[in-house]
Parts: sequence; C-alpha cells; structure tokens
Amino acid sequence: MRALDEEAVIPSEVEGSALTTVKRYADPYLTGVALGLVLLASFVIAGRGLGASGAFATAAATMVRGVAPEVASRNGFLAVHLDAGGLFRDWLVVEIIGVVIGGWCSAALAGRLAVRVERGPHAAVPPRLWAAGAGGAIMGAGAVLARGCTSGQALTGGALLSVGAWLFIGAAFGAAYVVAYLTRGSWT
Amino acid sequence: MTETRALVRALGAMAAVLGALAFGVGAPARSQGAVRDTVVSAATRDALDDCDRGGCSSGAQSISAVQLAEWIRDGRPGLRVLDIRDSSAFATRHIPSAESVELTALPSVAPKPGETLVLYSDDDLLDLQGAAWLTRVGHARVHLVRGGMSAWMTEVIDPVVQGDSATAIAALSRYFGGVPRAPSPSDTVSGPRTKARVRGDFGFVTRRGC
Amino acid sequence: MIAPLPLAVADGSSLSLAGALGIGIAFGWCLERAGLGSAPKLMGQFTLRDMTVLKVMFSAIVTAMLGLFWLSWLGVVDLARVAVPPTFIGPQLVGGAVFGAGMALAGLCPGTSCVAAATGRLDGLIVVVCFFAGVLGTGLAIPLMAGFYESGSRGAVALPAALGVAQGTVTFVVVAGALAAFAVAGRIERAMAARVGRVRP
Repeated sequence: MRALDEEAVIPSEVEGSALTTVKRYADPYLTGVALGLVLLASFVIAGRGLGASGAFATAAATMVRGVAPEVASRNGFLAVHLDAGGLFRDWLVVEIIGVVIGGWCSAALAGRLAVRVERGPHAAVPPRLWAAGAGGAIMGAGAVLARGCTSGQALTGGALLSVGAWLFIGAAFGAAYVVAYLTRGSWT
Repeated sequence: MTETRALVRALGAMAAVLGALAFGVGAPARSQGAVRDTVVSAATRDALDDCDRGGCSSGAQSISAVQLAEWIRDGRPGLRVLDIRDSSAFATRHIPSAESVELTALPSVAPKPGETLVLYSDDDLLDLQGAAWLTRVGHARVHLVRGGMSAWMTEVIDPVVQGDSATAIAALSRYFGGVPRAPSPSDTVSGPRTKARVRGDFGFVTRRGC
Repeated sequence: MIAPLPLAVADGSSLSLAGALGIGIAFGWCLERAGLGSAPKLMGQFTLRDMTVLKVMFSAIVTAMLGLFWLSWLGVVDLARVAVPPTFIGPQLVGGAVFGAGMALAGLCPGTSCVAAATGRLDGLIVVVCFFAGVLGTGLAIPLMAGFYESGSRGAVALPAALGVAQGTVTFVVVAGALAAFAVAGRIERAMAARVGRVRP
C-alpha cells in the first residue's frame, strides 16, 4: 500500500501560487494530535478550552462600553463579554495574541512568511478580497448566534461532547460544502 | 516519510484501543457515584425541610433553585418548568428549558400523568396564586422555586461555594454557564475574582466565551 | 483530583494569563504547521481535494477527548471543573450554518485568519477585520432577536447525558467514527487526485 503523503498527488501540498521553495507542511494527523494535546493542556491547566471568536466579542463589547456604556450593559450578548479587569486581562484575548505569535514563529522558521493574497489558481485579487470581507462578516454573525466558532465550539465543544457543539459542526460543515460547491470556480 | 506513516498508524491503533477500553469502562470517574449520593441526599434534605415548615400542606411544595437545577441537569422525567413572568423578562433571561406561560393562561395548562410542574417568577405571591390554580385544575405535582429568578441567579449562576457541598454546587453552577466563587473576606465588586460578574440591567451576568 | 487548578488561582491573574499566552502560541504554531493558515489549502477540504481540515480537527478532538476521559479515570482531572459550553439548539444550528457559509466564502475561520494575517496574508487580514465588524454588528442587533438568541437552551448538556448512554460509549463511537472518516478521506483524496492531477504552480 503506497503511503499517502510520500508521493502525494494532492494539489494544495504545493503552496498556492508560489514559485518559491518552501518547507512542506507537517503531517496533518501528527499536527492534529499535537493540537489535541494543546487543547488537553488547556483543559488541565486552565479548566477551559481554546477559542477565537470570544476574543473578538470581548473587544467589541469593550469598544461599545467605551462609547455607550448603557447600550453594552443592556445587551444580552455584549454584557456577558464585558470584563471588569480590562481587555488585556481577558483569557481569550491573551490567547489569541498567542495564536498570532505562534503562527508567525512557525511561518518564520519554515520560510513561509510572505505578504500576498492567497487565492485559487484561477481567481483574481479583487473578487478574493471582497469574498474574504463578506465571508468574514457573515462568519461574525454566525459566531455570535452560535456562541463560538470552529475553535471554541467545534474543537473545544466537540472534544467535550457538547450537544450544541456537535450540532454546530454538522451545520457548519454542511453549509460550507454547499457554498464551496456554488463558488467552486474560486478555489479550483 | 515512512516513519511518519508508522507513527500515525501507531497513534491510530492507540486511539482505537483507548476508545474500546473507554467503551468497556463506561464512566470516566470512579467516584462519580459518591458525588451523586451527596447531591441527592442534600436535595432530599431540602424537601424534608420544606415539609417541616408547612410547605407540604398547601399542596405546592417550594423547592430551592439548586434542587431545580439538579432536576434539569439530571433530566428528571416529566419535568416542565414554567416561567410566569411577562414575555420580555423571559426573552431577556430565563431558566434553561423553561416555557413562558402567562399567569392567567395557567388554568388552561392540561394535566398529564407523571408530570412535575415547577413554577417560578419574581414574585412569591404570583407563584402561590399560579400554584393554587394549577392544583385546582388537577395537577398532582406542582412546585415553586423559592426565591424565583433571583434565587436562580444567586444560588446557581453566581453562587458563593464553601463547605461540604461546594464541589457539587460548583459543578452544577458551571453546567448552567455559571461562575461559582469562593467566599472572599471583602465582598466588593472589584479585583480579578469578581471580574466575571458585571452588574447591569441583567443582574449578575456571567462571563462565558469561546 | 489535582487539575484543573483550583478556584483560588483566579481568572485574570497573571499566572492564568501566562498560561493563556503559552497555550495560544502552541495553538497558532500547530495551525500554521498544518497549513491551515492558507485559505486555498483549507478550502481544499470543501472541494474534496485536501482533507487536512478533517484530519487535523478530528485527530485533535479524539486526542483531547480520550485524554480527558483517561485523566479523569486516573483521578488527575476533575471533569466537573472543566467548563463545557452551553447548548442553545436553534441558535447553534442556524449560527453554525451561517458560520459555515461565511467560512466557505472567506476561505478561513477566525482562528486561522489570525494565523494568516500574522504570516502576511492580506486576505487573512481582511477576514480578521470584517469578522470583528460582523461580531460587533450582530452583537448590537441581538436585543432585536433576543427571543431566538436565548431559545433552545439546555445548559451545558453533553451527548452521553442527552442520549442516555455512558460517556465511554460515546467516546468509543467518536473514535471509531473518526478512524472510519480518516480511511474514507484517504480514498477521496486519491480519487480526486487521480481525476485532477498535480497542480502546476
């Protein structure tokens, strides 16, 4: 049986539209296990899992409180993300800063730092950026409703076997496949 | 590359074994039974106290917010939680799994065998009135939450935990997204431990994020 | 039970924030190592050409899930003190679908967009900024849909309790499902690669 990633014919293992030689990405299973150990460490050390959207929610709530405190405290979503200790004493905000640092370090050491717009092989830059913006905003709406994103609900909630998290995984993956099919020209 | 492959296969095999063993073991905590017993006897003690105070004779026993929390978490069969406050209060915040029923609509709630109804609101008199109506319409098991919604907030969502039942209450609180805390000598709304609570129009609001 | 650290190590203390930073760095590192900071690679999952997202995600879920189960069984971790996100059935189904649609448009999720932005990808930066705008806008609008937003709340219910089975049973099913999914994923990748061939950079 031929091992998959040795002679892989997987297009995306060649970096996007880059012409430079870069290090191969790490094996997804091994990286997944490593990520699982990080998640486990988070449970054990901090009694909570990973997250991303919560940091953005806290930032938004803090901003609203700075401008119109009554609006923030009367809003069921913003109020729960307010922090008496300030934005940078929030666990998720500090964690997401770590994510930025860790991502940068890994890319720097692998020669993958590059300022560019990543897109499908037949996609132009402007449509890609419009889609990135629209998609980002729509994801924001979804994350608010679902109380989390792929890091907080799918990964963390998934590992904790939370019912809502598994519902989220099903709905998110399903919708993603549908939209990806409808926009398949932009990625293939 | 083949070492990677071998390592991946080994990890996969390990996962399969650990998963199969988990199936065999069933519960991940050997002491789970003991914790459950402590929680149950505290609840039973609660109910008995109620009877002593004359709660039994009115036909509607009042239960603590903690007792209701346990019933919801444990999936007590036939449990229906009725919120008899107005709909905007319900929309703002309500006890998980509660249904919004206006006080005057209570008599039209049809009794079903095996049901346990639990009423709550912000007003003890309203609770008693509602419970009386339900009992008259034929419901066998009707309870009130002692202290209503504010008791839910202070005893379940935002409890100060100490003593023997601390672990159990803290676990129960977290189940509902609450933030239990240990008692502090100066109970002021400042400092890192109370950062999780913000007093606003929501009363005590819990800090939970993903 | 020695873990998680007791309530006395307060939320917001420097010790807990140091932990957050370290955990975050490791998280970002892993995401970038797997290539998930690259939108075309991530979207390979949803065009069935590159199953990295599935492999990474479910390997992580299985690892953490088994780790929690067995550390709890050993008495090292107190599961009751680990925060489980609460379930809101309607909002999480609808929010999940909306989120997934947005993710497929953007090509990145919030966490990976931070990694992409950190490594210089301008598309990642746009996703980060617009994700914040989406969170802010939707958050401000929540009072208009407070009824739906709070609907279907079940507390922090987990699958074993909801289905009435032992946690070990659900754990086993998830592991078996993941391993089966990995096998299928490998087949799909090979089939698609044979059809599509190698991409020329």
